[in-house]
Amino acid sequence: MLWSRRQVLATGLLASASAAAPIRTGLAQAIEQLRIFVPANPGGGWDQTGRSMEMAMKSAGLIKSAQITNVGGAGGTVGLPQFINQWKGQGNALMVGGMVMVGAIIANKARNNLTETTPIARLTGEFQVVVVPAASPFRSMADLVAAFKADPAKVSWAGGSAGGTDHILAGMIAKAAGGDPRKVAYVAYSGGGPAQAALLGNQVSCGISGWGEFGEQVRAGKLRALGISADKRQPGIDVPTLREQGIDVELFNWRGVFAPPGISDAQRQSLLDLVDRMVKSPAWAEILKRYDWTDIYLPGDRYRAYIASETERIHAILKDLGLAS
Amino acid sequence: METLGQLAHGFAVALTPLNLLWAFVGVFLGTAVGVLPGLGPALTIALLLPITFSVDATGAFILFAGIYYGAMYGGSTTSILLNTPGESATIVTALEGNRMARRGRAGPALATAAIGSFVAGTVGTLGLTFLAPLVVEFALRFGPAEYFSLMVLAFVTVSAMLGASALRGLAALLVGLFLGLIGVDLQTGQARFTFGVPELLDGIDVIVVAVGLFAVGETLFLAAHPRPAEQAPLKVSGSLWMTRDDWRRSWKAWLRGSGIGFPLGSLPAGGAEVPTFISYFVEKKLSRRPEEFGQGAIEGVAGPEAANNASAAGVLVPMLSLGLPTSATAAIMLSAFQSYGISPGPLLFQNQADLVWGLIASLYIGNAMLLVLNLPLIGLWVRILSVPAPLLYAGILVFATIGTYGISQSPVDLLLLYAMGGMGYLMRRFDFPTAPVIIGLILGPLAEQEFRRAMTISGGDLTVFLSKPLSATLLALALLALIGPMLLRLRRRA
Amino acid sequence: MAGGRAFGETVIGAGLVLLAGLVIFETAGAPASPLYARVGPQAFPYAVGACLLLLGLALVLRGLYGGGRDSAAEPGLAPVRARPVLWLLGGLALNVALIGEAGFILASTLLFLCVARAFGSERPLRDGLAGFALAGIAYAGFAGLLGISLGRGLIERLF
Repeated sequence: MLWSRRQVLATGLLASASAAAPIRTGLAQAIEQLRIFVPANPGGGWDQTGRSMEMAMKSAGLIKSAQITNVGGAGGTVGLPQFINQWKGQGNALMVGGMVMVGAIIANKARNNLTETTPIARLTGEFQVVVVPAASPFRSMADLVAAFKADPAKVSWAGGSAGGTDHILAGMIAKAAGGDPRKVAYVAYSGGGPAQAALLGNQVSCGISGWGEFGEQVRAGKLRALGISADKRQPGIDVPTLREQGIDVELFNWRGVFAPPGISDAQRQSLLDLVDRMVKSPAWAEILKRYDWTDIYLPGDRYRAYIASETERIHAILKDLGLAS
Repeated sequence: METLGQLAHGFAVALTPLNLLWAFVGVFLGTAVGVLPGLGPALTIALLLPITFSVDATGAFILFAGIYYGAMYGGSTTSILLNTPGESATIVTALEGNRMARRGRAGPALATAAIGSFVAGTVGTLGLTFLAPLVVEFALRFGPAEYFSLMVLAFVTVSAMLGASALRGLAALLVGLFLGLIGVDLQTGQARFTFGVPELLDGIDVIVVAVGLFAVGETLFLAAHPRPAEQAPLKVSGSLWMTRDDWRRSWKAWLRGSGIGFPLGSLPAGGAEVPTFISYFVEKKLSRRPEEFGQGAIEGVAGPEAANNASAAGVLVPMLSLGLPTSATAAIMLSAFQSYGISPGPLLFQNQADLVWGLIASLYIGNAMLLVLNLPLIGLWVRILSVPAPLLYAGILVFATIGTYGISQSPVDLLLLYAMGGMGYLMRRFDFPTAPVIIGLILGPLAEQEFRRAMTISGGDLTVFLSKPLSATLLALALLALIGPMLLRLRRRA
Repeated sequence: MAGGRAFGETVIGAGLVLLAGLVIFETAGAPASPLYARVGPQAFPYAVGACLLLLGLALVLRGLYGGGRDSAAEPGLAPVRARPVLWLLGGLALNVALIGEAGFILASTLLFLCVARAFGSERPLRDGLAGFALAGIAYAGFAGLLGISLGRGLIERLF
């Protein structure tokens, strides 16, 4: 029993990565054993990202093995201090994180933040979608926003927990439309399923979630998508962007990787190389396709700058929502 | 008849030797993770997701279905034998099940749990096969107002678990309600009672509290007040098998439990525990020997066990017919669909008939396999109880630690577990019932969130609970459940 | 058992009154949420605090004057024995302290030993081996089957 999962995994990897012959080229600072830190419990999106990275790197022959450590809780803010303090200086370690963590650090007033880590690369992202029940009178974002501005109390918005990605987008839309983000009658659900059920049962006016969550209901005609938060139209998805409809809002729920603080430049460079090779491997492409993740790879210093601007942007909107000072 | 044809086809898909092997591996693994408190089917399936890269879809789903149903069996086994519920849906089972075990009737308790689970699993799967479209339409009519009223109804069931003194029972309920308030408030993102401890932001896990109160508390109590005559307080006496009387008392409870569990399980936000509370209440109120409840009444095991398995089948109704992930396990299964390039959505039944019917058929198979595996194992399981007390209780504590620490790897959770153990000791010592704490912890947050959702949507109009017919009906039922038994008693006396 | 007949009820009732005070104090101290919500995050805590207060007071009064009994279900309960309790609490404390640094297997084995001792076992070698086996199997199960690492402590590093 102990071996079955690994064997199964190994055979699967061989099959999926037969194109990429595992040839190790002579990297100066090759990483034999990678340690991946996931600041969430097993099973969620970050965990999936970490485990997918392990698979892709192994099948591309970039590493020999990886060890995954999960320290979950509070949007990653339980794990972050541990990564910063106890993993300091480890040149073979990567932490998975993303936009949710940026928000959680601000909202939970966490003591540590992401500038204390060594950002390596942004990897994937998912855009959000605004939907209404099929029977709803709203046909476009303009209808929805007009109703909201007429009487905010009459328009209820379903989504994930308050202060999370969905709530942030709701606040951004309200603000961009010239309304008060705090007046959004936001109905928080603990997961995509119950929120979808509320929409299908016509219990709420509209809902916000990742496209992966609502996409199928939209395709089946049970929910109507009014707008997506991507920067441009997406192939195969016949839904206009928010920006096209005059709401100047763009939001990606992104995920990326970070190295611990206190590593040498050479160590940082070899991690950058490692991630770069992984992103360009066929195995990674296969994983992106399977999970429907959008590739928004952004390495190194530009990633560091991106985190800084995201932190500022999210802080501003959380302040508008009254969730940060 | 079309359904029958498709189901037959599903069996043809599922009944290959390789797929039977997957089913076996699944139920075995499921039982193992069900036994460990904290480690549940959702997590296990999530961690096994990589096999979707190499195993065909049918095989993988048969494996997952086995894990899903198997976990419920494993959870009840430890509830009964060790008073250590492995899953939150088997907490109620411990109430009467462990009492039976202590009176030497572990065998019949395990048997009625296993057979009841089988009956309910079958009833539930039949419901899934034939009634899914109807049930789902009913389930979607539940909005926040209806859920709140359902929670009110569920709260009434606490009256069956208050013990000798209502005052003490209500105090325990309120402590549970307080524990449920800890963490970040979902509706506003505000932290409540976390005292700056980040580990508390996500709230307190029900299983940690249940295992702490029941298992750790009991261990502390027995260590502090040793009784020579009872060095081995759990001893098997009498038959391992159910008596005629046990059968007579169980079968109706199985059916009632199934009838309660399946529709409530199919509600997108009902929770797996609510049906077990309601079933326990119903069994106690209908029993001709209500005085046996709290001392090891077999109906109190048979009903809730049936209810939790039927609700497990119910959860699959919105998942398969609408693509709605209404529980953690369902969400993970849906993402497994995704990694096969199958879009889980309202069109699943039409587009992926092979897979869906194969999955449903494998539920029947997994269920039957669990019964066949578990009945002979009862003899082996009860032998755990003849392990010498030092090893048994040391094992229980290590066991409780493994599940808690294994998932979160946080010493804070361990401290919480042991603190709950201390509280459990005090409550046991001074004769306060512990079950109401669990009820408060589970129902409190559900009731609060649904109430506030309803208020946000209605703009603060309190009459929604009465103006919606379904909600009003549920409230009326709650009132009836509360005063009905009193009225009956009055009439009998008159 | 000093005091009246329902010593425990009085003490626990007093504890609940304290808890009620904490709940109400904390809730009053929290900033009001600026978000649109008809019923805010304070309403339920206040309700719970108020009910706790009432029940706590009722328990105290009944414990002092009501003639309630603490352990009606357990007549002739043996008095607390200190030694096993100390072993047990010591085991739990050791476990929490060691599980992070010294590792899961070592901490669990020690816990097992202490609890077995608390229940009167005189065979530390057997208990140690049994605890070690249980912890080792759990560690291997988590690592091998599920791919969860329970951390690398002193013993885990040997493998």
